[in-house]
Amino acid sequence: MSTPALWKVVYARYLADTTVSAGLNQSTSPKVLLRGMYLEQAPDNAEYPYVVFTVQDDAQEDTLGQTRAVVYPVFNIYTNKDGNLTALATIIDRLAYLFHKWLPSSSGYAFETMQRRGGRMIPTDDDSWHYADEYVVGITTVPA
Amino acid sequence: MSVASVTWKPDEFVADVREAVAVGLTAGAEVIADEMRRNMGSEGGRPLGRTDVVAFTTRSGNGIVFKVKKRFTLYAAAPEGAFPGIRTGQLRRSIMHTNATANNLIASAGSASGKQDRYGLWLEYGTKKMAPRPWIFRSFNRAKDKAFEAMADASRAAFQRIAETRAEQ
Repeated sequence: MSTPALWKVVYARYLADTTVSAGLNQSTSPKVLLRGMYLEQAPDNAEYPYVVFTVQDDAQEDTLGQTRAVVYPVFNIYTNKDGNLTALATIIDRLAYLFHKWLPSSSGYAFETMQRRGGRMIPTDDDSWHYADEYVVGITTVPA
Repeated sequence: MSVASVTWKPDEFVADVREAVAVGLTAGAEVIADEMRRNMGSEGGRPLGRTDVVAFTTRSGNGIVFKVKKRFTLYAAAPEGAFPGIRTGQLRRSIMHTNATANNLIASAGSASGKQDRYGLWLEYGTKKMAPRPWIFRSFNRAKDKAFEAMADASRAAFQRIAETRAEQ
């Protein structure tokens, strides 16, 4: 299971994205584009917009006799339904800027380039939009 | 003249191939739907039994207080990230597959029945209050080799049948 290692590098990349007005983790208070990124589930007091990082599958695959792990991460974006979808689109674009065709690096692991697979709106019955932004990344070496 | 002639009828051939592929796609979708049903509850999560709970009190018009006893089913959820557990079994029962046709080469597997469809997506991706228990994509990944095999076998057999029927005409 490579999810913790992947989450660690993804979160570090999010924290480092402090670019003024465009970054996901701006130093303004409150943060403009995204208020936070969480693993598996957001805390009860999380404010919109935020992202919950989950993994849809973490599977072993045999390709040409070589075993590799393939992880399917999902950035679940939650934004306020009151606003229009512009904020959501901006976050999707910025996530793609940071993570699409990105090569994660973590000690002991050999990652392949991360790719965006697609995404879909998930129906909600509360005050939020929920968009599942789907990615995939292969891992050829994991720590023994 | 004693000759054997072979005539190429491209439109008929394409129609026959599409029909055979539709049979194969449907067989593949059936395999994936079976896998989805099998995976439900396979990694934990089940009802623990029913229990009586005094849920609330109510006061009638003449001031008499009643205690209302309700029966609840206690439920142990599947671990986060695991296949969903079986609570009522409604989602599992709603899993089905659709048939592809020669004109519409798409077969699908999953739950498409109103309420269960939403619930299925919430389990797959999680919600604000619940971590995901993915079952659609994981089931597809686990069944895809078997599904492709079933697809190829069914398409081949269907094409054989169609070709034999054509030969008899």
